[in-house]
Amino acid sequence: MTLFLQRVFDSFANGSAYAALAVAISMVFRSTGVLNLAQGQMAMLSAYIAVVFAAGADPGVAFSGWLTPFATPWPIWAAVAGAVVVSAAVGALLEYTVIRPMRGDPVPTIGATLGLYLLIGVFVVKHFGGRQRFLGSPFPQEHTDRFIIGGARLWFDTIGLTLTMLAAIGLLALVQRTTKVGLAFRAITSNRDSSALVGIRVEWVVMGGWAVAAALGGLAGGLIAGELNVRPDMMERLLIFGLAAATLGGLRSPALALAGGYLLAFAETMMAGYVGFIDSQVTLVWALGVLIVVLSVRPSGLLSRKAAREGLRT
Amino acid sequence: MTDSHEPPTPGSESPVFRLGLREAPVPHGSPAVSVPIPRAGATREVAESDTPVTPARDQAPDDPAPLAVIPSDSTQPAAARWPSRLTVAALVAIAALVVVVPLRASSTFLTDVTQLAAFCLVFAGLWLLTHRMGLLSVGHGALTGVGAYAALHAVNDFGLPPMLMPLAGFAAGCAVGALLGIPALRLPKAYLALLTLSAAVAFPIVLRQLDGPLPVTLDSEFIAPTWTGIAPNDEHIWEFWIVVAWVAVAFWLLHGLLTGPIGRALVATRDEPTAAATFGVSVYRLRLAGVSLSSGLAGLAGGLMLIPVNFNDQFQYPEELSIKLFALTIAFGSTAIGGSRLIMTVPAATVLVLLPVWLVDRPGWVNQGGWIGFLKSEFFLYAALLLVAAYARSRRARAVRLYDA
Repeated sequence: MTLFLQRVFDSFANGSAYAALAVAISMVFRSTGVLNLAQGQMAMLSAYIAVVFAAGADPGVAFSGWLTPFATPWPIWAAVAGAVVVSAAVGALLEYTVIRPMRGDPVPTIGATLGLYLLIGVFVVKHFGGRQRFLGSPFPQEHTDRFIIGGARLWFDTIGLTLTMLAAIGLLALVQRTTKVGLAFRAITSNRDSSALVGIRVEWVVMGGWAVAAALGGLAGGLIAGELNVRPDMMERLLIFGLAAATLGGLRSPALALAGGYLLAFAETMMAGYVGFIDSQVTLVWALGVLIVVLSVRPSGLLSRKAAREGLRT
Repeated sequence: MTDSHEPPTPGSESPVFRLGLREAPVPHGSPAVSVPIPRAGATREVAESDTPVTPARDQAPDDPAPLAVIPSDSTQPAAARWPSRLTVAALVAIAALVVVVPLRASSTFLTDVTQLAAFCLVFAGLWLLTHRMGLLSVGHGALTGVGAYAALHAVNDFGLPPMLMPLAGFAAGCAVGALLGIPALRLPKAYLALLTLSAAVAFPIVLRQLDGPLPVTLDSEFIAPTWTGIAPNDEHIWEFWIVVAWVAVAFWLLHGLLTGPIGRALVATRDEPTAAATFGVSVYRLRLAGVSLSSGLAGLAGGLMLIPVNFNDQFQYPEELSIKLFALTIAFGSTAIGGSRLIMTVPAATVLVLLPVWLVDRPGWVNQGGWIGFLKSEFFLYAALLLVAAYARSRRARAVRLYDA
């Protein structure tokens, strides 16, 4: 029982990262119909930006010289927050310069997101090198920073990461439900043309959606960097799990994508722990299996068929 | 009006007969052929999306079967049109190269060219999928790896003659393509891209799990028969010719398939799936067959890739290869670079194989840090190519939509 509980706790950190990416992918897809295959790379870039802020004016880290006026390295929480802001700006910029000119045409748009996938990857490799870098966690990570529950250890770091991601996604849901901007976003996901007719600036809202999605992915990248270290391929696995989780949510429901993320992480941890021939690497294949099975048996995922048909559920 | 659910009979005027299942008689040089469609009061385009609709001006108002227009384009029967000058010139050039290159080139370069020939098949599969069916795959690199894995183990473990091992690759590619296509093709196009990208990322991990971290060598060699006059140290020439022969046969069969009724039906499922279904074409099954064939071609290429390389490992088919293949398919299908012709798979494969060779020969040009090195790196070139090609394609599609409106 203790071992089982430990594995449940272990799945929280990964689940938070999968959930954040899945919510970001769902947000972009439901507002624009674009499957952003570069979402993982954007999150990886955000982790590197956090490294730049946290390094201060370190000649060994590209672009950190730009922070010379600030001289001292930023605290990790500030570095992650700064990376989230920069990621949001980058997301908005990419939507304006790369995605918007594609006019929603599926082939060019997916091609463009793949172009961004390559572009961000080569940018990071060329400027930061292929070596992994250490960012650290904004939460306490000493070996005594833990609760013991039923004999299993629940680390403060895991709690902090999970609660931060849940708070960010909850805040996003609250903004969508209670503000005019959120109403506009929900309106364009429902009917883009009618939204434009009633005076909503559709292009601005879509750009905002991209910025928020990039910020959410950036938050996941910055926080998970404390677990994975920062390296160019750090988000590849996470992207596949994020896509699988988003598919579980029917690609249209951020709330169900969130649930899908934690569900997948739970299944992954349990399989790696209890099934002998599955190690932590092969669990990626099970994510692919989940994708195939879900799309075959229930394409709407956890979303009800009615909601999937309407495509309206928040 | 013909019931579209009934099987057509030869000589009937069924839309099914005209569109997909049998060859329609097309007068040589005629710009278009009109076919009836079973819906009154409407004129439907059943052709490539960039072709304007031609109204049926001489149609009687009460005619129950209005006319649709199939322009004479590359989807028409082969007998109705000659190959373009570009195609003929390219075929002649390729034939000359096949004879001359092995006699003049170094073994290293010939190995590269042999791989290039095999990659032409991967691009042919992607070309079929992207430009003929309007679908997206970001996993053809992995499918090539699947073919290589199946071919290698068919020879090593099951004793298949090595000359036939590409067939094992083809079968494995078809099977995996169908596995991915069965769920994805019932959903919007993005889902196939999602599944294939996932497969591309997962494949190296699966291969390492199956074969271990070290390369697995093919337990067979390709020794040239004595009648060829090829010296024992020049087996790479024989390997080159084997691969080229396989590729030529595959291209010939594919060209025949796509210029016939099935090819036209595939185009119809891309442009007017509803109309195609109305005419009796099973859109889902035909698309699934197309995806399976496209994947099979990649698998066939994987089997052929073993002939010059002789081993297989987890590093040969990374997900970046799949993205590069996709990028070049989009770029070399654009009207700016030759248009969407099957022959454009050759320059695409040439860029894929020879660009890294060219870059490796220029270490001072590539291995620079900072912005200059960034702009000269291979992946930046691919990213730029992909973005420019995607932009050009969206502009063209928009222009076509405006023209139609």
